[in-house]
Amino acid sequence: MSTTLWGSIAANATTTSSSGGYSVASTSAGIYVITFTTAFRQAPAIVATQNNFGNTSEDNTDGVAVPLVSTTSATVITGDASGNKQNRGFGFIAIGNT
Amino acid sequence: MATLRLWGSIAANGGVSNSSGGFTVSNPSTGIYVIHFSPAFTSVPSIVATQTNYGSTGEANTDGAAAPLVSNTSATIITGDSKGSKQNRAFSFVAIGAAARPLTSFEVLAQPIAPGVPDIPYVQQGFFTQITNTDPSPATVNLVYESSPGFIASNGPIMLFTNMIDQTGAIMQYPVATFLDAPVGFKNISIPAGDTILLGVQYLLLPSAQNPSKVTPATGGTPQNSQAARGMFSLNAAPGTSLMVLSTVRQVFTNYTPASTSTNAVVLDVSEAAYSVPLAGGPLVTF
Repeated sequence: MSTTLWGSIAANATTTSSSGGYSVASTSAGIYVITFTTAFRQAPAIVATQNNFGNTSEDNTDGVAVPLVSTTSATVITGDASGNKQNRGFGFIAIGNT
Repeated sequence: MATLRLWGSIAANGGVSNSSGGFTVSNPSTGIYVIHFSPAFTSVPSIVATQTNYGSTGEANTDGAAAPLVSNTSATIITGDSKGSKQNRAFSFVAIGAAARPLTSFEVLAQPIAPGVPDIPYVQQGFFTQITNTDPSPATVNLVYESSPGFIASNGPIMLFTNMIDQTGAIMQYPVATFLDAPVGFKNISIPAGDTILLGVQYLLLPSAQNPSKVTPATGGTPQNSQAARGMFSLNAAPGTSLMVLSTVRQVFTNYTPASTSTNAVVLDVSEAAYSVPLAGGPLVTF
């Protein structure tokens, strides 16, 4: 069965809105670990974009990377345009089979 | 909770190349795009975006897209080059968030039953929804009314009334301004476990200091004032919430003295009607 998890995560790692089905922890500046309540059967596809910076002076290169993805969790990295890790709000969508 | 998924492939000039529908895009300045959701989400959605269709493999992988402003009703997307200079760039996005579950169509109006005819009944029609929380714990619900034309607070002697009868039977006016805030409807209504509430939306033709004759026309004939909202009624609640929902239409038909026979017309008589409307999936609604 295909399962879609989504969330709007604030910079302080609180969930603004979500599908449910996961928890988020900020383990250090700019690093967030999303733990899936029910494990996917294989590592899901996950996409993420910085959300809710708060004004349009944000740099379009303020990116998000997801360097670690497993059936049970995903690690999300956020930061500034120079690659410095910083806590930033982001939105994500994870899709996979459960 | 119902989920709304919107997606789009947006050209550099702000045109929509392909999409799910349900939104419009504007390009107010270089590298800035504003996506307006319609209908609105009931909470802030998650939105992801990537530059697409640059047109050649010379694009830098750091050509990013960010969404610095996201609300229930819109999202602002920024695009630019790998140096962070804003430039118009094509992008694709997916927005997922909570949305209300469509249940039925509705029509709320106050108008002569046939426009432009002087001596016919005037109809005032409201849309009422009774909700029973069948869960053993309290529930919070949002009722959403997407319509065209949209609701307005007043039009001359016609005023919008948004009413609520709570679980104790108390009748109260829900603030119209709050009702009109996007998404239009009753917001965060609490229902204790096992209790029932009733929520109503209606346009009523009322006397006004500016135009008292619109209710008792001095020259006879049916008032021609008209206001209506027609559209889709949706409901949203937290996952696991179970409700019993019943929507009804209630109508009041008012007749006036014919224009040709009256010098000080009055309401002649009134007839009324009330009937329930079918809901998608039936009256038991589980989120």
